[in-house]
Formats: sequence, C-alpha cells, structure tokens
Amino acid sequence: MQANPIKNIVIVGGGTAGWMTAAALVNKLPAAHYTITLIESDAIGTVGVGESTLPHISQFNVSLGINERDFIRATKATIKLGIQFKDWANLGDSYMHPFSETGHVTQGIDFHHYWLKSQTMGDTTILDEYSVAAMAAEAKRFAPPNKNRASMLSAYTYSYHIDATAYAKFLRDYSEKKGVKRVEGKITTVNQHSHNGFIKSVTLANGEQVSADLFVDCSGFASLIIDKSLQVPFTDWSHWLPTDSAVVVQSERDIALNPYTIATARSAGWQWQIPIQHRMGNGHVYASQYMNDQAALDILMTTLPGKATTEPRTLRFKAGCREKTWHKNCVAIGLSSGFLEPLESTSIFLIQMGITKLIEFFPDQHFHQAGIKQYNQTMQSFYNKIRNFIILHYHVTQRNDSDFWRYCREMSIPDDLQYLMTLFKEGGRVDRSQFGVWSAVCIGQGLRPQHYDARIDNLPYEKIKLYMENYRQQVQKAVKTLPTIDEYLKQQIQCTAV
Amino acid sequence: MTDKATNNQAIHHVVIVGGDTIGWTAAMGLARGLQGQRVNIILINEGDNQQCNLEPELIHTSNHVLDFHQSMGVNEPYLFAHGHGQYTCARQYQHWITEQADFFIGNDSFLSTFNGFGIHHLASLCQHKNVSDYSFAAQIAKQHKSIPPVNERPKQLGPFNTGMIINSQGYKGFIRGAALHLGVKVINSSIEVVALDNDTGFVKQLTLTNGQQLPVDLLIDNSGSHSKIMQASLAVDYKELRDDIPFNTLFSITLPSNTEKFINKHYTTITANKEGWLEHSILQGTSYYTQLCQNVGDEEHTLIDNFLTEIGADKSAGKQINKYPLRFGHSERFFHNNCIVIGHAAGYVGSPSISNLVLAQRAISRLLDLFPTKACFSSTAAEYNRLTNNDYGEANDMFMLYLYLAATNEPNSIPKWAKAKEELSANLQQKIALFEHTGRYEDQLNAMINSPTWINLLNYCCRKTKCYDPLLAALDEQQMQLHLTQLKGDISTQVEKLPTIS
Repeated sequence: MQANPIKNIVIVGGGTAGWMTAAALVNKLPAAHYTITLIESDAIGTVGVGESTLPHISQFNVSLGINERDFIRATKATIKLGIQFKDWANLGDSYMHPFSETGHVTQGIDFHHYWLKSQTMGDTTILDEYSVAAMAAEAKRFAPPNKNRASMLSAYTYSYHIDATAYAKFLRDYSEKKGVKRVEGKITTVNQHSHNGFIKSVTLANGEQVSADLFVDCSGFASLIIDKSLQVPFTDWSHWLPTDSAVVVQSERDIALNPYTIATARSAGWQWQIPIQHRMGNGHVYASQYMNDQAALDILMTTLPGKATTEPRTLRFKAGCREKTWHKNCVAIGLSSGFLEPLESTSIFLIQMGITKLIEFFPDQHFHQAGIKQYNQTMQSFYNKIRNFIILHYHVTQRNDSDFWRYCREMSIPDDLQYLMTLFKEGGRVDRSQFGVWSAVCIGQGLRPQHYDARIDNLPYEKIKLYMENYRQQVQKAVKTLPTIDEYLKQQIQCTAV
Repeated sequence: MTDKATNNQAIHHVVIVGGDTIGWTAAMGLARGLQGQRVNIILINEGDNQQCNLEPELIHTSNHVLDFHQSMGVNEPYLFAHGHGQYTCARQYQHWITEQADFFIGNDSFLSTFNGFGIHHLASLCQHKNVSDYSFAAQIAKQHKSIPPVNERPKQLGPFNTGMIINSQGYKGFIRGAALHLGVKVINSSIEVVALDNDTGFVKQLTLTNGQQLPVDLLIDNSGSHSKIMQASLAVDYKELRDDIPFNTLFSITLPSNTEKFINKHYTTITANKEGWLEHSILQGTSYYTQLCQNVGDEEHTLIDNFLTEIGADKSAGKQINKYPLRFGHSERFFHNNCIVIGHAAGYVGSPSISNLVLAQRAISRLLDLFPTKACFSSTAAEYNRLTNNDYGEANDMFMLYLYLAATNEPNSIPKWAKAKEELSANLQQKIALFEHTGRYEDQLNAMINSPTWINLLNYCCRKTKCYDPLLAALDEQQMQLHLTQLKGDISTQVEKLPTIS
C-alpha cells in the first residue's frame, strides 16, 4: 500500500464552497479510511455565491447521486438557458449568451460566418434567432434536450437558478449523513509545523484544537489559511475589472418566470435579476470609484421586479486570484482562492473545478510538487479564461455615457485577450478551448469581424439565404413544441422523486 | 475596390509544391474540403528523384489516418480495399528494458477502469508493470490473432483503435487518384523562380523550369527539410534539434518475408540497439525494415553491415538499402505570409508513436478549419502556428520519451542517449514527475497521441516507483487483484476465440 495516505481532512468554512467540497470528498473517500471535518460558525455569515449557475452543476450532482427533482425542490431551482445582456453594447441593445451553439457548422464553416455574410446582403435577422436555447428562453419554454442527436432539440444544454443557501444546506444534510463531522466554532489560530510551514491544526475559540493532514480553505474572503497563515500573494486584476462592490436584495417575483438570467448594464456596473421559484434575487455590481453606495442602492431599489423582502446588503470585493490556490497542505476553494464577479455565473463553476481537480490530483502525505503544480496550472488557466471573457463584456462596448464605460473602453487589456479579440475581429475565428460562446458574446457586444470566411463568397447567396431561413424556421417550429417553463417546473416539483 | 473587399477576397489559386504522399494528402484533403468552392489546386510534382520527396517504403500511422479519411468521405472498407495498407493494433518493443525481453503497447483509445481508476494504477499497486496484459489490442497482436471488426470487439475489455501500416508508393497512388478525381491538376516540373510581392512579401507567382508561370494565392510548401520557399525565399528559420536528438539518418530495406522466421503480424516491432532503433513490419508478404542511426559518413559501411546483421540478411543485400537523411527539428513558423509548410519542410520529429503523415493530416484539417482569405490575416496565421506548434512540441516530447526510456534502463550500453535525460522539455519533465509517484497524467493531453501510449511508456520509465493514485489506498487490494486476474482471463478467453492471422 501507499506509504503515507492522507487520513484527516479539515474543511475550514461552510457555505456553498465548504459543503460542496465536503459532499464531493465524502462521496469519493470511504469513511473507513478518511475523516472529514468541516468547521463553521453560525456567527459568521456566508456570501451565498452563485444563485445563477452553469450546466456543469448537473455533472456534479449526478456524481453525488443526487436526483434532479430532489435538487430542484430543495434549492427552489428554476431553469436557466442562458444570460440576457441588456444595454451592454449600447443603451437599448440586448442579446443572449445561450447555452447552445448558434446554427450548425456547414461545409466546415462556423455558422456565424453565414450570418455575417447575410447581414452584408441586407438580412436583418438577429443571431439569437438561430439558437434553440436563446429562442426557447425568449419564448419561456423548456424541456430537457432530446437525446436523439439528429433532433433540433438536442443542440442545447441548461442550468439552474438556485437558492445557494438552500443548496449549501442540502449538501450539508447529504454530507453529514455520509459521515462528515461538522464542528461549530470560530477559528482563532492557525498552527503551522515549524520545520516546513505546513498547517498542523486550527484552534477554535473554545480552545479545541483540530488537526489534519490536508486543509481545504473555504473561509471565503477571510482566506484564513491561504492568505493569513500561508501568505500566498493575491494577483490583483481590479485594473481590468474595476467593479468592487455589490448591493444585493431579495424581492417578490411579480413578473413571469424567465428561464434566463438578466444582466442589465448600468452607468458604473450592471444589475442582475435571477428568478427562483418563490422570489427574485437582485443585485447591483458597481465600481465605487465611479458611483457611491447610495446611488447604487437607489438604482437597485427603483428597478426591482417586486417588493423587497430583505434588507439590502452591501458586499466589497476585489477581482483577482491567488498566485497558487494550492500551497503546502492547503487547498483554497471558493472565494478564498480568488474572486471574479458573477457576470457569467462562474462562482459555483470555479468551486466545482477546484473540487474536481483536487480529487484528480489528490495527494498523499508526501505532497509531491508535480501534482500541486499541475493543479495550480489548471486552476490558473480556468481563472484566466473566465477573467478574459468577463473583461471582454466591459471592454467591447460603444457606450460612452459615463466615466466608467469610457475607462472600460480605453483600458489596456491582457495580451491573451487581445490575441483572441484580434483573432475574432480580423476573420471571425474563435479558439474553441476558451470559456463561453465567444461568437455570441463578441457579436452581441458589437465586435463584428471585419471579414467573414471568404469561402462563403464562392457559394450562391440564394442557397445560403434559403439554408438560413430553413434553419431559422426549424428553430421556431421546434421551440413551439416545448412546454412552457411554468408547466415544466410544476411537473418537476409535483412529481415524487424516484 | 476597397481595401476591405480586397482583403476578404476568397482564395482561388492554391499551389502545392512536392508530390510525395504528404503532398498528395494535402491535395486530396484540400480538394475535398474546398469542394464546390471554385478553388484551383495545382500540385507541382518535382519528381521522385528529388531529395525533397524521399520517403521510406512503409509508413506507420495511428488511428488518425482513419479519422482523416472518414472526414474526407473515404470509409474504412474502401480505404483498405484500395489504400495498400493493413490494420495494426499494437507495437512490440524489444530490448528497451534491461530485464525484460519485450513488451507490447496496444492501440487502446483509453485504458479500462476500475472504480474510476485507470487499470495501470491497479497494475502498479499489484506490482504488475506489464500493462499490456490488460490490453485487448496488445494481446491480439501478441497472440497473432486477427483483428475483429469494430462491432465485434467486446466493449467491457476496453475500446481500441486500429492504426495502419501503409505501403507509401501504393497509398500515394490511391490518394493521388482521389485528388485527381476531385479536380487537382498536376504539373511535372520544378520551381525556377519564386516571385514575391514587394509590399507584402507574399508569394505571388511561381515560374517553373518548363516556362509555366503560376499565380499563387496560397502556397503549400512540401519541398523537403531544406524548403525552397519557406526557408530559402521567405527566410523563416528551421529550428534544428541536433544537440538533443543524436540521429540523422534512416536506412531502409524491403525483403521478402521469411515465413520461417517471421509469421504475419498486426504490429510493428521496434528494437532498441546501439545505433538507434530498428523497426520491422510485415505487409502483404514483404518485410519492411528501417534503422534509425547517426551517420557521420566515415563509418557508414559499418552501420550498414550492422543493420544487415541485425535483420539476418546477407551482405549482398546492402545494395538494396535506401538512405534517408533526417533533419530533426521544425520550422520556426508553419504559416508565414501566404505560405504554409507541411511534411519535412514543416519538420521531422517522427517516432514509432507518431508519423509525419499524421502530423500533416492534422495540419490539413487545421488549415481547412482556419482557411484564410487572400490577405492571410496575421491573427489566423498566429492561431495556426500556435496549434501546429503544440503538435510538434507533443511529437518531440514523445520522441524524447523514447530516448529517456532507453537511457533510464540502459544507461551504460547506449551512453549517447543518456544525454536525453538532461534535454527534456519542461512539459515532458512535468509529465514524468507527475506520473512518477501517482501514475497520473495531465487532464488536457493533446489528442494526437492516445493516452495509453503515454501511460505505457511512462510506466516503463518509472518502473522503479509505485505509480498509482494515492486514493487507491482506500480500496480493497484483494478485490483489485481479483479484478486484474479476471480482466486478464477475460481478455485471454476472448483472444483465444479469434482466428489466427492467415
């Protein structure tokens, strides 16, 4: 047998990151060999990240054996088919970043090239009209994707809007049933081994010491271990992502249920509306350098889709991530590892990736550097790709109505983002390994390629026109066959779980 | 006409220089991919005697050759009926490991798993370093059995892909026929003058020795390792790996297969020897041998004698030996201005796991994916270069892993390879370090080489350590042992049922 297996794991902090980590580890690591302890304090609130999620969350739930209907009921979830961006390119503009590709690759050429060509010929259709997810979202209709790949209704995926606090509670129940030990208490001291600086134990306010071989820092912005003890530097990206505050409030949902998140650009940031079954989650992300708290609050409160049901709460943050999210015997997961604002709903996704990769590169007590290095490289790559994608939304805009937008338009951007933007701008090409549907967001933001794929000029335009029109009609026809989102959810909530 | 309109003009004139297998592969691939696009594709065949078109008589490929043909609309039965090739399902390695006579690596798509762990983890824990015992493909090869059709391969034993060994001349004829059928025009001549545009530096016209002048929108340079266009005309450097890789020559010979010594087989044998390595395949009754070595000239006759001795041939066969100079390395850029290099002009980092044909097929698919306009935007070229560079980096790492394997196991008998241990790229060092104690490999492997190839070779490189996932500690070792025994038995039973190769 391996000489030195890890036996004790301590997760510092509950909340979404802590309980997702606990659930995944207890599911993977047999209780006979591993002791998993989660320390949290009821006195310390959680941020409750990630009410809007990405489709990957389904894989996480499936890996835990969680039934979708149980999940939907427990987290008051609704369905999400994408994000609608309003007023981002220009005031009055709107586009969808859908959970589907737009159109089909035909003759080896991506669909958006055909659309770009047709636009030059006077076509006025919008790109969203060729996306099943975007059109279903607009029509407020949904059914799970058809498994028959030939079907028009197979070409999309979906995610959820959830009550993140309820999700953490749901996973806490799951974890505790499977043997995770929850310790109530506030950590006062983190103790390190003198010879190598590894974390030895944590001391709680009641004097209790909890030791472990591996510590997972899910302490949120406090970053108790990765920052305060191990002092892993934080790479600051606030010059690229200058929003640093958010005011959040819950409200009644007096409008029809939308199967998508709404992200509306404001003069110094943007505002979200996330519908869950019984209420609406609302927030206004802003740059305090360009807008004061009261003004941000006023904008939020005067644009709520229903009566506020909680007191507004203000959060502060700084965009960036740790130089290493795994250092010595501590892995930081969640907000302790870094922060990227929720514009593309990536918080839970980053938690999930942190957990998945931790399991993939799970250490023994030797903590071999190669595995740690691989983990850090992989997580850094996720952070960089998402960072670039979010910056893209701010930087590619024609808005000129505030100092904030002027700054975003004119700021310097990361070299790798510049590379990707030039690739798209010159010839409409995308790097498929990137995060998100670049063509939809670039075009939605107003970044039109200077040139579409010139091979299209070798095809008769009438043929292209006919092909596109047929495709558009097939999308419309397919969407009409779906039940409404209300009908679908009602059925899911009422059915008894199998 | 505006600048914008000019930039976005579609390419109409594609000229391919070099009519070897790779040149015709490019011609066929582009003709198929651009079908209906009114693109005029001309291949300049500089003749079989030109150094640039030298290629060994046999090409070994992975499953990519099948995928490439599939994407070109050529299905497997048609390819095998007309492509002058034969399925392979494994490679046999001789004399690479001190205390082990030989081992096989199957063409598995991925290794079978137990509770989510690759079988090599279990094998390592149970001290069975020979992972090929758990590879259906390797056992078929080892037992000289026929490869079952795709739909008759038991899925629970792990999926495997077939590669091909191809007679290069026969295959070239096949692919040439397809290209001509798709409208490619061939000109048997040589390039006399390469005319560049004064403003852009693009190749705008080629003048041939027969006096013909060809307009060029896009040029595919397959003119050999000292390429006439990319290197000579466009002054793009070729990054040689002479200091890292101690080989510069391939000797080859074909002989009637001696059935007393060799039975027919579905694998290539790669034998490490003091010169380099010897490869042997049998295709349709003929044995194909190649010997990789370092030939500095003054001892060429000794190298040839050793080669003949190694294969058991009479010295009189020496006259039949062909000699191919190799220039290990690759072009600094693969797409520059309106010129793209493929084949030996792009580089050579071939190993038993990856051939230049596969690298070229991937390059053609990539070119179609990023097909440029007449302006050949620098961003498109940069993306093409980035992706192609990844392929060559991966192929180079694979080559260096062979040297590392030999150097790790035979440090005294092959001293010149020992240097390889100090010349590994950062990526390869990380691959080895990651595998060494945990049996893991990075999650984003380049799809060009199947993960089982990396796993098997790394496994033998790191055979003195326990390469298994620490999480295995939580599983029952007896159960794992039982699973391995059962899997081995199941594979053996299934293999026994297969007919022996006729």
